[in-house]
Amino acid sequence: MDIQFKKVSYIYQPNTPFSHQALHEIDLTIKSGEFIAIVGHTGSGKSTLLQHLNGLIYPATGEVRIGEYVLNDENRKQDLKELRQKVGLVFQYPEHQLFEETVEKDIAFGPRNFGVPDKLIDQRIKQVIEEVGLNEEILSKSPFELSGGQMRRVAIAGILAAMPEVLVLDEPTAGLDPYGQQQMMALFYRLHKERKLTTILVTHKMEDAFTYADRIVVLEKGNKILEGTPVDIFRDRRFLHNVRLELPEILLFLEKFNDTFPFTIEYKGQTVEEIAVEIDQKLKEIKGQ
Amino acid sequence: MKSWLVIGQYVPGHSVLHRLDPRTKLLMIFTYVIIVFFANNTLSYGLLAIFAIWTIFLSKLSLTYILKGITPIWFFIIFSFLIHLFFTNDGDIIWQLSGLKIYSGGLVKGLTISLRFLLLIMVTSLLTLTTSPMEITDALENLLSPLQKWKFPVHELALMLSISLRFIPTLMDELDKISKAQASRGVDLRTGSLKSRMYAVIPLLVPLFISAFRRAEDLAMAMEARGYRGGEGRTKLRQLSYSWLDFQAVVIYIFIMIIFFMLRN
Repeated sequence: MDIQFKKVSYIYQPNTPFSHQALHEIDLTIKSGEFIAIVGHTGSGKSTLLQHLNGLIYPATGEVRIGEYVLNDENRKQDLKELRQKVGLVFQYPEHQLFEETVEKDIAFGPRNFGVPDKLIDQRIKQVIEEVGLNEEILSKSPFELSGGQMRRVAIAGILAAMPEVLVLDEPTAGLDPYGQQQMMALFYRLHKERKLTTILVTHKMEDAFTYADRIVVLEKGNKILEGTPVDIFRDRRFLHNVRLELPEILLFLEKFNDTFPFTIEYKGQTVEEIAVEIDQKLKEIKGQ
Repeated sequence: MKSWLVIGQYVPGHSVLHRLDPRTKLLMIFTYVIIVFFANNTLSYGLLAIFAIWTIFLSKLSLTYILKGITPIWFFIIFSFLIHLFFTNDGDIIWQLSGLKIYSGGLVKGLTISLRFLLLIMVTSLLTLTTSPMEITDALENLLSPLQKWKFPVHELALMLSISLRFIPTLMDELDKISKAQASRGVDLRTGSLKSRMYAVIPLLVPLFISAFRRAEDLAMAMEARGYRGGEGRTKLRQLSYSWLDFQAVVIYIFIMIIFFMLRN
């Protein structure tokens, strides 16, 4: 499903003393199967942007096209069930939405709402619980006796069980320990590849954006100020300093490295290991001379 | 979420009403609420209505903002109006249609009751619109403090009040987040039978309660960590003080009340 934002603006509490414009004419196209990272500070409009993807809010002006759905000010009253099934939204702290007596029931909640037959639901539960890296024994437990990390995995399983084609993640690693964060991101990346999902990651961590995304969009105060592949963004890095976004550690290293040594290493989206190998090769070349 | 709801909301500002001492406002509105029930003719109601509109004007808030903001109350106002209209058998019949009779007494009663209701809501929401929750509780604590002589827990009461007022917007935000999260899992709160919609509330309420309890626990812990031990000997950052403005307001208010009691019959 292709997603297209056309001049989307959004205003919180319009016509009141608290009126606040959160988005200013955002244009954005997301191709099916892409991994997009939307980065920005708190209050940059990231979360507002992604709520449009599920029809939870409608643009004040402009329109959002998601597959066959068109969301604009005129057609607010449409049936969004199918859209919500196809676009899975993982909110910040998704474990706060758990409510059922058992993990199994909670995972089944979404698919049941979307009218998936019971037999299929059982199959899917087994599949997703494995996908998020949990044991089947957990299914009969109450979600409230699990650890924080497990709860989050259960909540994510509940969204995956609806078999979305687009997965929208709002700071999915917030509040986890570093190891848990890494695992969680690895999980999403694996799902992205295996299920051929379109993934939209909202984050303020440049590290994750550079590691996983095909394309990065930078928001600041409701405006899109930068868009491109990680390599493009690295090229425009001076711009990032202006909006107080830090480059990932590896790129900071590369920057310093290139300043210090008489030869340069071009950033082409390599991983840490690949860069290490490149440096090693360069050094050997120099020794050879 | 409910962007139009003004009940309990505070709009910061520097109008005359904002600058009045919260105790003055509280006492004036308290007496106003009682006095509304003493109005018994057009003139006295008119005076109260003019007073209400004048104070709204003084607060520099727009009248339409307040009237729109009390949308849920309009339902009750219209409902009580209709009840009185149809079920009062008093005075002359002014309109009738196959057994349904409307009496002039009913019309008058309906109008006065809804006007009373409207005035009450307008003036009391004006209090919360121009006074921060902290000021309201400070004023209440101050006004009730004589009761301490009889071991009435004034400080605790004020604290409870300020905490609950403080958490209303937080819980509203929380509810908004949860209902969005559940909506994206396919919960439909707007269509379906009454029964199915009632069931659809469970996925909202359970997480909301859990988060409210978690917040309460965190707050209790934070207060204890900072050595909170109740009201005894506790000083305040902001001391309340009456000013010349309060004196003027009270004089005008008393003057209006005297006229009011002269207008009554």
